[in-house]
Amino acid sequence: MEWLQDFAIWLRQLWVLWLMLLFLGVVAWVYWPRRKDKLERHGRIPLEDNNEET
Amino acid sequence: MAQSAVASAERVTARETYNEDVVRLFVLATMFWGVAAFTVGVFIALQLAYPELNLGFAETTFGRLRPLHTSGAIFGFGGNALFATSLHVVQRTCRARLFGGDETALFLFLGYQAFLVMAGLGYVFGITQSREYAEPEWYVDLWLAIVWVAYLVVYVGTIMKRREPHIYVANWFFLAFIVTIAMLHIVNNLAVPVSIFGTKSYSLFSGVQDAITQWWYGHNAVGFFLTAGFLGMMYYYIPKRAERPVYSYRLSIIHFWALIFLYIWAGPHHLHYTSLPDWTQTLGMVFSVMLWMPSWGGMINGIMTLSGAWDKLRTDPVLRFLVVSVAFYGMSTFEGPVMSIKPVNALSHYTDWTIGHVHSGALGWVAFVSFGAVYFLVPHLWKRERLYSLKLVSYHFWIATVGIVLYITSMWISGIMQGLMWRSYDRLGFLQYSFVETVEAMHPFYVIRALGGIFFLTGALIMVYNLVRTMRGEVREETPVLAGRAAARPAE
Repeated sequence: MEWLQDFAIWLRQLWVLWLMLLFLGVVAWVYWPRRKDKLERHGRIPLEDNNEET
Repeated sequence: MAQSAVASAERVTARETYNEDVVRLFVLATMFWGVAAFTVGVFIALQLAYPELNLGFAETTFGRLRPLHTSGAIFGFGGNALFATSLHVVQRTCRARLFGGDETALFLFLGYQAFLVMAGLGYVFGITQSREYAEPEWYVDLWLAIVWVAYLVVYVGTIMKRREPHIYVANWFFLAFIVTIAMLHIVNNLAVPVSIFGTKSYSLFSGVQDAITQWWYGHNAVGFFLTAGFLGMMYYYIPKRAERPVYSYRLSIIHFWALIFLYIWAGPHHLHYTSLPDWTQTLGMVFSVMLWMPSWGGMINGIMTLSGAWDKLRTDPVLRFLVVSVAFYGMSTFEGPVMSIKPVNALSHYTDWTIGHVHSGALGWVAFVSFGAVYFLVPHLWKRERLYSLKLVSYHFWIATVGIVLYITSMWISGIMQGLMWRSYDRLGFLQYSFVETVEAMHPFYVIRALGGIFFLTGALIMVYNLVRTMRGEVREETPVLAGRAAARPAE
């Protein structure tokens, strides 16, 4: 099992790569065309405040 | 009749649903600390130009008043503005009253003001741990940690009991600000007090580890206190005031994650050409330059929210404060990464250029977005039809803008001149200028900077006057801004 530990240490050195992939994953998820309408609708939350007095 | 009955019924529910009392208190504190911090700022700017103003007392020297100014501006003015807006936005966008009850909310207010007073009194009487933007000693740090954890609990608790399924993006920014500041504050202030009843303590870190911990804290205080928190403000109050949704909600998500991924690594650029390992300096520089992406993504998102409604910039000075703040955000976050590039830093570091840069961010971005939010909040929270006077808002805007321009241009010239004088050699390889010659050369720019500060303070005083009249329910008779000119134009 020692090789597994060495392998994990080696993988950890590539942290920039993993963070970059994670970030690109976020970008892909957000800009996936199917999600466009659903996500853009959230932008209306501040405007749909029905407790507004003035 | 029936309509007004419904409206008043709704008003009652609104009062029951949201805790606006604590938001009002924080707005008042923002106004108070803003004027106090700007006043001390003007005074210490004058001290630099006219050293006699140190007055010969230890308590009134520049060294003691300077942290009073920086803490007053960042934690007093900025912090109270962040408390006010975050507690307002989280309730409105989650459609839930603050978690923890009104007593906890009041504790946040009183606890935070107690922190500010303890810190400020300490500075004046010479109690400091000499860490920039983290000067308060251990007992004040412990107190702030308690208040801050309560803040986190209130904020997260409110989000957890929300009635709106989605967590609006402004809350992500506010939450990132609260969580990160908790982490930075606790780690950077790890210290061993000399005695239980004494004020003095020693940091747990030493040498270069101490320096990098301090600037990991210092830079991320800029990134998460002065940036992420105020971006939360931007993402709520600009759409609200412009009455249109943010330009791209998807871009706002990318903006958030890019900022989170990158900012935390940029701190080492404060320690270029020191004993910090070279690779760490380069890492800090590279991540700083990459920060251009989220900065400009966010700026585009904020400004483009007005796309199709640009005319509102002419007619609504409150919106003008908000949008121009985003323009300043773009400008100062362009300048910052440039200054983090090592050869540029070799010229700019330790000079007034840095002070100019900080103030283009603090006055142009942080203060302007806060002014915009406060101008929006006061009529809203005090249930007034509108502000006492929009014309006075317009005067505030232009006077403050002139002040900022005077401030940053004088510091650019003074800073670059200072840097160039320090590195000048004569034919034989001797330094061409003595230190005192550089100080003498900077004198006129110090005077101009103080003048810029006086302009900015004047604008803030106009704001306080306008807001107090608004709170009292007064409305000034005035023609709408630009009404005369609009009437002169042929009908479209």
